Amino acid sequence: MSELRKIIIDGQEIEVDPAMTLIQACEEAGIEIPRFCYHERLSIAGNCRMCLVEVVGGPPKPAASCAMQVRDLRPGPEGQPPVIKTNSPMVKKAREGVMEFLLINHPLDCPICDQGGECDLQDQAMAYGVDFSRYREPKRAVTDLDLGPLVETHMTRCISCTRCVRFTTEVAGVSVMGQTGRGEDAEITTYLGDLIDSNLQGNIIDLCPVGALVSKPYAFTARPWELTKTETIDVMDAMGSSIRVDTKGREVMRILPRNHDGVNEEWISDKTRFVWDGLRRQRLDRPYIRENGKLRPASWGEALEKAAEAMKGKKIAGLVGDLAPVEAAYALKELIEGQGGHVECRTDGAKLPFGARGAYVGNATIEDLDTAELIQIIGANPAVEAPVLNARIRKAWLNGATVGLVGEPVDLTYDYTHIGTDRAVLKALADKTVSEATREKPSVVIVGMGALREADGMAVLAHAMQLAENTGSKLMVLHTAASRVGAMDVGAITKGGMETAMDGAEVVYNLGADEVEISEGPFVIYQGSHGDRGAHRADLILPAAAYTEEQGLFVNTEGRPQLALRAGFPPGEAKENWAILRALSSELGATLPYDSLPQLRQKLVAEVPHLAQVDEVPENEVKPMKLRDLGDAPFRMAITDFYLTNPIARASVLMAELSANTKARRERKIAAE
Amino acid sequence: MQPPQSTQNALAETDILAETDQIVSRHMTREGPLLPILHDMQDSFGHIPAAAIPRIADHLNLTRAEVHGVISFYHDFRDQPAGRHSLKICRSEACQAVGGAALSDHAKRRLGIDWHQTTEDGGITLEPIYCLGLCACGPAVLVDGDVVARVDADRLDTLIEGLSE
Repeated sequence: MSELRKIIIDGQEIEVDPAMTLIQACEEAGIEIPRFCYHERLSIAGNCRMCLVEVVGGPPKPAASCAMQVRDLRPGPEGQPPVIKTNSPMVKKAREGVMEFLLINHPLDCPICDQGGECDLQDQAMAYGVDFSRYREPKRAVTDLDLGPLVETHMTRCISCTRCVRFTTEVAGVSVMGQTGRGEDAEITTYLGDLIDSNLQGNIIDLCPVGALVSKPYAFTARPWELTKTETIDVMDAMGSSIRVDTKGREVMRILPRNHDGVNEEWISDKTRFVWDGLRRQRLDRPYIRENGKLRPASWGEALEKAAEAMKGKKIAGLVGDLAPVEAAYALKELIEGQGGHVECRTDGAKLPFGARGAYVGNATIEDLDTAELIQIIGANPAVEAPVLNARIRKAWLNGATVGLVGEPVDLTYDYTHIGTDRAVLKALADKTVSEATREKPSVVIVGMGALREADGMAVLAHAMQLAENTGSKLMVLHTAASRVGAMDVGAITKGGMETAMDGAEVVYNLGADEVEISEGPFVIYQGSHGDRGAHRADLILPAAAYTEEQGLFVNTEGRPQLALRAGFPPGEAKENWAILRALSSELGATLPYDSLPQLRQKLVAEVPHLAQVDEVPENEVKPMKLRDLGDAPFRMAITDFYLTNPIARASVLMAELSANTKARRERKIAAE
Repeated sequence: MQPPQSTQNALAETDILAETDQIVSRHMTREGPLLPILHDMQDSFGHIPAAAIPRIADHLNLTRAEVHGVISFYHDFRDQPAGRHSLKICRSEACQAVGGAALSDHAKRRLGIDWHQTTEDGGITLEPIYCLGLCACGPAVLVDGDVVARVDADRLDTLIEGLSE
């Protein structure tokens, strides 16, 4: 960074980095410049001209503040700081002119447009629009694009800001969108009418400053001002993206991203954004008891009594599912271990060691990827396991980082060196001595769950650690389950993993672990939100809240505890997870020592202090583990179907459609080749 | 007129907020928790302190305007502490027709205050109320929650003296 430069904006003198653009400098000075095409996370286009400002002493015309840097400004004749005006008559006239042009072809359909109430054009027309049009010719009309089941298009409303084009090419890494024609005929189109093959495409809905790209599932269901907005945390993957859940009454109407520089920037994946229809279907809204092979509805009193009766004096195994908040995992651990049973959260069989946090979380933060020059991925497919994280890696790649992959060659949206698919390659990589110059470079090793959940998972982890040690890299364990790190933090695990925990279990307490096959034999109590695989196998069902319906802590894949807030209430008689466990404990005569969530949290924090540091990543130390022998097999991926990874997504009709579409598209591609 | 100096007023803002948090946490699991919270606030403070409104709004993910809207909609919620006793006189048509207006004037003169005010010793707060459902035997008044019917000036004086003791 070079020296700060002094400039004067509307009479206010500030010092800014000369590399900043004028629009950023104005923001620094607390002055908001209207804009359509400029977006701080995308490249600069400078084509909407809404951000015009007056540069005193410069050329006698307004300048686009998004495309001009502070260092391009000339000082005054006596070396005075350059002067910018954002509210002079010239600026106002220029912006009004731009607005008039933008409105020439923009339809006046705000009353039937879903963007109404949160439309940049609507807002800025309030400030710079005139109340009549001098344009007498007919307005142009543009054919709508078919972008699949997520994004609805009304291309007549498009003002050609090209944010969608820049997002898909730069962040999502699919170069299928573009602009054709010129002047009045300029249109945003996709190449040969293709769909956008990306699981981040929903973000173009937020980016579109007008109503040209709107959400199809949300179409005509609500207006922004009638929604209750709750800022919470996503659980669809282990990123813990910051989201905003918008509800109307009891129903979730849509999910939007929030800005969090350390986690998801301001993007979310399509699963996160569109999963909400799954929150309304297949819900468990009352307890059920299986009698003569059939489930029958029961009351809470009856169900808890039955559960307590089944558990008393038996060998119990507790399973923590992928969507459970830390509090529920902790309460389950206390309850089951109090009864002499075992609790296990690594339900997919991941060989994550207990105790050393550095080993199951790693020491790299998501933000470290931004500055990394070397990124080595082992047995993971971040494009599917955490699409937003993949966009970060892509950003690093765009900035010149080299990415290596050991594992199945998959489409990661950026170029990478495919080192190999099997474990022998990892061994060679870990044993290689690297030059001092390479060691100096900031680098990150990412290990995926696909590699860790096989029999030799510990050995893979140890080799990844050795690689990180040799190359001076930071280690990131890329989890796929939102609950995993939190459950590991509270120690909801059994030495020996799933096998030991399930060995000889007479009762299985299944806390939303739908991915697990439970064999015939044990009595299964299922506590969860959806009638999915777990509920089918259950002998007793206790209906619980889903992630938008209770407060809870979630620790993301980098080890950052975050608090999810409640956006609505669970349906019917369903209750919050921790409360069910607390009620059951008193039925068992082993009452857990807390009556409220704050009390539970106090106890939890006393045991695991770093959970109190919400939104901070505690520093972990990676201690290299003993090297064990690797197996002899290629790496497999943890997730085969991105859209159907958890019970909420499996209940969603939209996710099923997307999954089917993706599958069909893949097959067609193979056929074409 | 100054609100009476009571212990509530001397409460530090931190104490108010701590108590508010307590009350809110008791009701957080309910659906539609605002009214129960406001009732508990009024029970414990005697009024709803202005300092607590942003805190309640924050907990319930509402805007301050929404909470204020609810408080100001219901006349029973106070933003100032009231006197030790409350005297409410029915002001609806049936009571007015049998001397309610004169009774109100008498009460104001006797206590030396207007509606919604509290006597200087902090003893009695005078408030209008609209229909106690005793239209057949008006004028009716409500003394600390007890309904008294067929009240005239003399009876009111007795009631007030009873409260002042």
